Amino acid sequence: MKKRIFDWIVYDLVLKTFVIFIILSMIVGYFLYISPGKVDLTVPVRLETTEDIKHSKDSHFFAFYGRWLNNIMNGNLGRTISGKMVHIELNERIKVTSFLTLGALLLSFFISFLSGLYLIRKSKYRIVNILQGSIFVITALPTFFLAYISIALFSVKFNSAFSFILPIIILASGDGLISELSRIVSLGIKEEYNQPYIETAIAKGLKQSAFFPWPGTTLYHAFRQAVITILPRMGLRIPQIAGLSMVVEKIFSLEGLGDMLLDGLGTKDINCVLIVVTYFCLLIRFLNLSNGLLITTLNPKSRKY
Amino acid sequence: MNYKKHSTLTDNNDLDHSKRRKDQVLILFGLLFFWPLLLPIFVTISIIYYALIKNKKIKSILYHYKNSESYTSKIINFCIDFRYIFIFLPIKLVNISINNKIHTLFAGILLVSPLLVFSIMGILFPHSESIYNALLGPSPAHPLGTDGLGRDILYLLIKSSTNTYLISVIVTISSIIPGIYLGLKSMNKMYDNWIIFIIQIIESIPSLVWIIMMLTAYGYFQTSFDPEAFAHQLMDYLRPVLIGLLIGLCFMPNIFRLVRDKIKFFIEEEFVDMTRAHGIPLKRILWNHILLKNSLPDLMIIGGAIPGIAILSLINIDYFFCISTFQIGASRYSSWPQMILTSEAKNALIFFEHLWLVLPPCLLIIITTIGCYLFGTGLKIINNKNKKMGLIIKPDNQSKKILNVWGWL
Repeated sequence: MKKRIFDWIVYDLVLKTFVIFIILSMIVGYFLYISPGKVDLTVPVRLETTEDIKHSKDSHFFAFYGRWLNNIMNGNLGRTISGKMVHIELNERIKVTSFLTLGALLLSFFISFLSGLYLIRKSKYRIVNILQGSIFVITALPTFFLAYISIALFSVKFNSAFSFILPIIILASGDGLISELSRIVSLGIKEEYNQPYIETAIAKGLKQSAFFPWPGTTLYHAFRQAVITILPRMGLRIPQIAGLSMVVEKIFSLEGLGDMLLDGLGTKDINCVLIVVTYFCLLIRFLNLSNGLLITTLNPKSRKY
Repeated sequence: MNYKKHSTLTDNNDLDHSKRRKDQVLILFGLLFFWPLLLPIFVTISIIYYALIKNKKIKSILYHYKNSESYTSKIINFCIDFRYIFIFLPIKLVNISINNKIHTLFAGILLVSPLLVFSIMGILFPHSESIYNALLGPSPAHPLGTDGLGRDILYLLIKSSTNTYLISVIVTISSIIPGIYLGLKSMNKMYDNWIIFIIQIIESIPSLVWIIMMLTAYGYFQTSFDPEAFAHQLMDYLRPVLIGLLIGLCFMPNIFRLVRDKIKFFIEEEFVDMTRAHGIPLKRILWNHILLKNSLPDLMIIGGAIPGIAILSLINIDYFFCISTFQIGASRYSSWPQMILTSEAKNALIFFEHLWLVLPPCLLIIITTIGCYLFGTGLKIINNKNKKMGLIIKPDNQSKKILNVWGWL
């Protein structure tokens, strides 16, 4: 039986993310609640009425969790321990992290596609091969190391207007991300070149040497088939970029969610930690789902179950 | 009063002694459980074997002693028999890499070898007291310079390599074994949905966030004990093990998905139907025919790269705990990444001063990550040479296209 896309979206996008969000937040919150030390359970109360505070004192975790869920469904994000409203703090911090992660994701995918296409060729000159290897060496550096060196090199020239360019480039290139992705791309295309339909394409007189997959070349046909296997593998790297964005925020002193998470863990602020976790959960689920939709549009066979 | 002071001093010395002994005992205990730690011995002996015993002169001398009935000949004979048990695998790897001209594997072994050799040297290295010569440059007394606290950097490199190697070994074991097990279990539709659901929960948060949260909870539990209590010290020793397990758990979904996809792809092949018609049980088909014969090369690439990825992710974890104002999850173990994360090292990176603080650990990290990648690809090339034997079937393109989107979401 064919499953319709509408059902699939409703089941996966809404129901599954909701269940995962509930289980995740419960696990994380309960870990903080169990661990020794005082935990303030009066935090999610927004209106400072005496009844709410009385009700929330000395209550169990699950009672707190029920109130927290109810508040969030009504659009109440509560306060931090220091007394600030969370939705005001989130307003600017979410912009920073989401801009960083999405920008780095697009840039890393773009560069890895280009370098993967370049890696298919083999040149006669040994120097070119050594240069290719040196690119791998640069991308295998840890983000921390790259960021500090780049600050030393470029901090004088770039002002606050371009403050997002350097972090995005470093996030995209650090921790061996591009070297892995470009290897995936090149291997995927190399596998397609062994197929018989490429031989027929060559026999029909299509161009064999092309850097970019324009129509009218063998690379165009190989690339179209290879993308189906490449994209899901790339999708697995999305959480890695989202996690590393916190490191880059810290180094470039951008006020993002990494700060919020660390402060929340230090002061045992359950509300802050849970909200950061929900943000990451929703972001990664959304990106994975958009990746899945891309695969369905490219590959009609995956629509059947 | 004097007597009391004296007694406290002696007590402290005894504590240090006991700590050192505990270190040695714990590492020996770890050697028993984590057998891959023995690899460095294999590699060093294999290199010596190729350098010395393969020479024609030494070979002739050995031949002379082997046939005589002296005491030395007995020892040499014993050693020659002994090597087949313990040194067989690494020698064979080096042998294959040289004879078949697989340069990648040989280069991979060479690049990983400093980590392996240092990790054994760290156990045997004597404890040297810190001399307060802060930030001295490279000299004959200190060949790689000194730290901000006056410690020798070569000593620190060797001493801290055991922890990095232990973590990378734990990560490989804790990610590959459950990944393969769950991948095989997902053949059943009963388990499949539940396993994927659990793995989606693991994947829906970045691995850094998972690890930081778990380590802070661990730190809170540790602070509840007294710092002199045995439990507090034991939790210090177990911290690198826990970090390895957590990184392995976060990396496990990659291997699970690979195994699951391979099984879904190969189960529709004709040879599976043929083998089932012969009466071979499905478990054996999954293990022998699909996993070992057909999906091993792809597993080897990832399996070889895992230690490098583990070291890279260790830097980010350590960085978070170095920054944070609270010292709850702070890492109290020595490792290569921690050498870069000191305040003096950061200043060295920004102002380009005292570069001997940063360059040796950074170079070692880069070398090991690249070596791991090369090791994995080299192992794959050996496997690809078996294609001529007809062990591996060429994959069709048609069944590959039926990728289940269900699993990716």
